[in-house]
Amino acid sequence: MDLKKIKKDLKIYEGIDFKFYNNGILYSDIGYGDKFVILYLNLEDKSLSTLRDFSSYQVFKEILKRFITISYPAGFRTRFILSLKQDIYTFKKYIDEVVGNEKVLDLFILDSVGVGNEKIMANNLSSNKIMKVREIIENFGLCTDLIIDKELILDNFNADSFIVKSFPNCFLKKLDNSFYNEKLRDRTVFMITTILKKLY
Amino acid sequence: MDKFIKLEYLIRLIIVISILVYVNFYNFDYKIPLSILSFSYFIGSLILLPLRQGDFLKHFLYIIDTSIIVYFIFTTGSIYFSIFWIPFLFYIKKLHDFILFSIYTFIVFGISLYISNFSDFTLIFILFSFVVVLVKGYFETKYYKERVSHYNDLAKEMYKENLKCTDKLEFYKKFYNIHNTISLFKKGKVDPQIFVNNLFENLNADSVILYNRLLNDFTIKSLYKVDLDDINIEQFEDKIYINEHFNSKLGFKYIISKHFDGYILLIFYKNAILDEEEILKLIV
Repeated sequence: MDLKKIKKDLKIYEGIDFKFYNNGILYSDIGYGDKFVILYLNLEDKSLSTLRDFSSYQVFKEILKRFITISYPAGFRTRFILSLKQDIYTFKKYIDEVVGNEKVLDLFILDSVGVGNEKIMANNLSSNKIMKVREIIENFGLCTDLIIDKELILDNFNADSFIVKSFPNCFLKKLDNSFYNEKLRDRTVFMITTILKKLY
Repeated sequence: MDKFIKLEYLIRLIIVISILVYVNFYNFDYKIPLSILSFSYFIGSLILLPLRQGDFLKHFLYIIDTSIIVYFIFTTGSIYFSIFWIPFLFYIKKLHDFILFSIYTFIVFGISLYISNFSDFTLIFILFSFVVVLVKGYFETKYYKERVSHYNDLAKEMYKENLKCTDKLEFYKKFYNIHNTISLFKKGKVDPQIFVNNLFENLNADSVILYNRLLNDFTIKSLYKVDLDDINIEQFEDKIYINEHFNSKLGFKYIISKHFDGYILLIFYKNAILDEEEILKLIV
């Protein structure tokens, strides 16, 4: 799928309109507010044939659909960003130019989600926020763990960032999208939406 | 275009070329109109390409094919044009295809037998042998598809089972790794650098520091820079430091310290302790 096809595919309702930035990034907002919570997904292959790309895209789409049809978190804007084959530096540049670094509350990076055994890699978080996220995980019985992000992809970034990543097994790169499972997708979607709604 | 559809058009092209050669080689009457007809057949089938996607509409194209082949059997009198129909039989996929294709085949070969005054039986043998191959191929592919779907389902189930196990497995793996490295380090079988690296990988700590008392030497593995110049390391006792002057000085909220024989191990957590108690009990 090309980015234009993805834009067509994501147009679930007429109110949603994705815009282009630099021909590589698609973005759109849901909700009202001055500050932003960003959901970021980077696809590695445009054909969506691998499991990690396909399931992450389905999770992204499902979150968008639930926000429109059921309810979206209030108090801030949720910005959905989808990019194709872009590295993290263009994303940083995008945030500096379009959003503004000081307006970002939280950053959720989706990295191969919806595959099972998801973990939230915390980076740059204050201890209050970590306690809050841990409480949410315990109270709602979410199937995830908080761990410290040791890869430090987002070094020198001011906003609090969560990298949602799954560690199912070593064969993840070889699996194709016939292994996609809707139960695992719904679990991750529930996890991310509850954290987004209850965090503030 | 799908590669099977490309092959189908290749067959049509071969039919057209052979008609052209046949008509021109034997110097038929009306050879120019006949060659124009064969050309227009090929170009018309290209124009009607969208019909190929339809499930029933595609038979319109095959009817044109049969009629062209039958027409040229009549005009040229060569019954072996009917063999050109055989490659089209590869495109049988469903039951209604099978029924309609058998009608076409009956028409083509019936007419060619009629023209040869029911004397040329080689055609029948060719056709029968081809049908046997086709039936065998059909059952082989059916069996093959069943096997493939069976193994796919098996792989999916195994993937799910694997996911169930990984959650428990990770905890035990960590536990076993840390227990092993600590016991090996106490026996003196592991290098300090490897020990520190192993602890850093398995724990969710921000930094791990090992101090050698005899050599006055630090082994550090850390995400952030830790400034230990103003601090006397010997002052650390065996406990977890929370809200004390070490914490405010170093900028870490939790510090775990532990004395080994000749070593002091320090583990720093910047904001929160994210590890299970059972694993930390191994160290403290």
